[in-house]
Amino acid sequence: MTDEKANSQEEQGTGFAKRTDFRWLGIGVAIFIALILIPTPQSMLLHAESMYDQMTVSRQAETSVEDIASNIQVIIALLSMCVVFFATEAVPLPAVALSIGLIQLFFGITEPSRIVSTYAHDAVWFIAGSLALGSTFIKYGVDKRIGMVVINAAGTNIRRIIIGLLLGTSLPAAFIGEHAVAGMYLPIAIALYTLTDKEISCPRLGKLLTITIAFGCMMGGPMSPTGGARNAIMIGFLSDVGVDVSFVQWLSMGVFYTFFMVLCMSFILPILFKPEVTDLTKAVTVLKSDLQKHGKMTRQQWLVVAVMLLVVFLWITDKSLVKSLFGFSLGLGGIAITGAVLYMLLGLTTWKDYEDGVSWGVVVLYAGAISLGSVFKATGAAGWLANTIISMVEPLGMNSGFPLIVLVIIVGASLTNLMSAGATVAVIGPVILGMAEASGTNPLIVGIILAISTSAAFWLVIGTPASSIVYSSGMLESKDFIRGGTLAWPVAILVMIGMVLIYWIPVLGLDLNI
Amino acid sequence: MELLVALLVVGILLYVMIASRKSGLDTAESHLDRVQDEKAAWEDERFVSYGQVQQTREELNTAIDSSFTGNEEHRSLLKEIVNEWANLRVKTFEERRSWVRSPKKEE
Repeated sequence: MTDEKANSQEEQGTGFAKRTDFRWLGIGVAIFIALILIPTPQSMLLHAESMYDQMTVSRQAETSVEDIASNIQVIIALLSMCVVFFATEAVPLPAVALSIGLIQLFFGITEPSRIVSTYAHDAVWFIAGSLALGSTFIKYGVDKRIGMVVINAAGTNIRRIIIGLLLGTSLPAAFIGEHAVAGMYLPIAIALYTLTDKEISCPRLGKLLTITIAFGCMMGGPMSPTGGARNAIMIGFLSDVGVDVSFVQWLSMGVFYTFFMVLCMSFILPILFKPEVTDLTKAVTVLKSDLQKHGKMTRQQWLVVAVMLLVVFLWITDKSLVKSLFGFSLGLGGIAITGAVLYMLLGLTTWKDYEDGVSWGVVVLYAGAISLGSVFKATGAAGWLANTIISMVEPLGMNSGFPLIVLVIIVGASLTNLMSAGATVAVIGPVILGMAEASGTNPLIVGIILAISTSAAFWLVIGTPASSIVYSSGMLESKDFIRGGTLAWPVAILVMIGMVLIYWIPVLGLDLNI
Repeated sequence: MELLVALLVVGILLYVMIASRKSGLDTAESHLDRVQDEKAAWEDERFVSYGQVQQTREELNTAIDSSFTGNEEHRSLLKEIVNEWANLRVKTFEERRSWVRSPKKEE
């Protein structure tokens, strides 16, 4: 990489610190304007007409078929522009999220008094609360305790260490951010590699240990609603179509994927990156003695764990015990925020800690995604796009039922390698759910399988934050991810298909069609 | 016609996604280069351990004591500078080490 290129990237910044890239901004805006200016498609007018016919007389008096079609066209243009901005991160992402509301406002799609409410959803509270809980966990080093437990339990054989790392990364990644989990395990992997490398050169061992961390983090996210903002967004989208998903329900559906992927990867990864040594007794012994210096769990760490356990207990019992006690459910977001506030009331954390430790840009970004999903459905854009895609895939027989689910898995698992998982769910979630509704396929299955499929970002070093973190260790090359993804990606697809066929439908008793 | 427009839009969006991945990869490479340079710089350093710093601190303090016997002000000032340097070096080691080897930093 040339110095000029690196300097230019330095000036642009990264993540939420990124400044506008005017080239992509121009392309995004050009696509938006072009899609607004093209003549309204006939199918869009027909869809608007059928929506108009279903309206009450008073509502019909306030609008017209042309207005409805025009709104649909603007929202489709907005979606396309969002795809450009989410994929390129050309504009600070919270600005994109806020622009979603502004476009609704300036084009008269949503009344000014209702704009803010399109951003408000329990899922947004859930994301904010989960991030706050995770930041307190990290502040007190409780996450690292999990790493210590894994090293103490995994033994000294490389295969057992790989299983330990896969379980040790995937289980926490279901509850706290995967970047935090990767950052916590990377020093352990580097220590194991460095201590072994002193005795015998072992670059493949380094690759195996680090890529295991990245893949483990990816495989944990689908297990629970807290495994990533994409899951919370999907819960929000599902509630828009009248499907309420409880914490336990998601957990019972997602656990299969995580455990089967851990099982498969514990065989595949040591074959792909065959380590030079299989016994790491010396390295593990030194590492254990280093970890012992951290001493026992402190009273504050126990308190942090206790509150977290209480939150998880409330999430699990929200639809049963909590509902019978209060007469209503608290909602996943309400419970997450309860935990975050409890941490402050108990003096374990301060608001300043939340300001520093929580990425509020992420909260704004996904509130924008919720707003986009809500207006997408309300204007009829989701219905029109869903019908259009259905008519396109109908000749292939993939317009409903199980073939539709396979299509969703492949599209989700492919797009997540091109965009972030959250963005993939945000832009195609409402369309996919629209297709499920239009075709009579169970939206719960379609929605959750889409969220799970977006965890299959195995191919690229920038597929997920965890991949980028382990890549920065310098032990992996880009081609290692391609090598790992070549087997992990199709295996993930097969596990997802198998999960629907042999677990969700027969064991959990979910109906494929509604 | 509708199909053509749809294919064109999807094609442009796919191009944008693939092109943006390339720029993302460049950023990751640039970050990797920075980390590698940092590591290489550490390897080139003269003082690389806590023990080395303490030993050098003692040697320099002894040399100052013997060389500046007639100038108390310069002697104490130089010793202060040496001690500050030694403390800063040790702090740098602690910050460089991971949480695995540096429990105080994290908990």
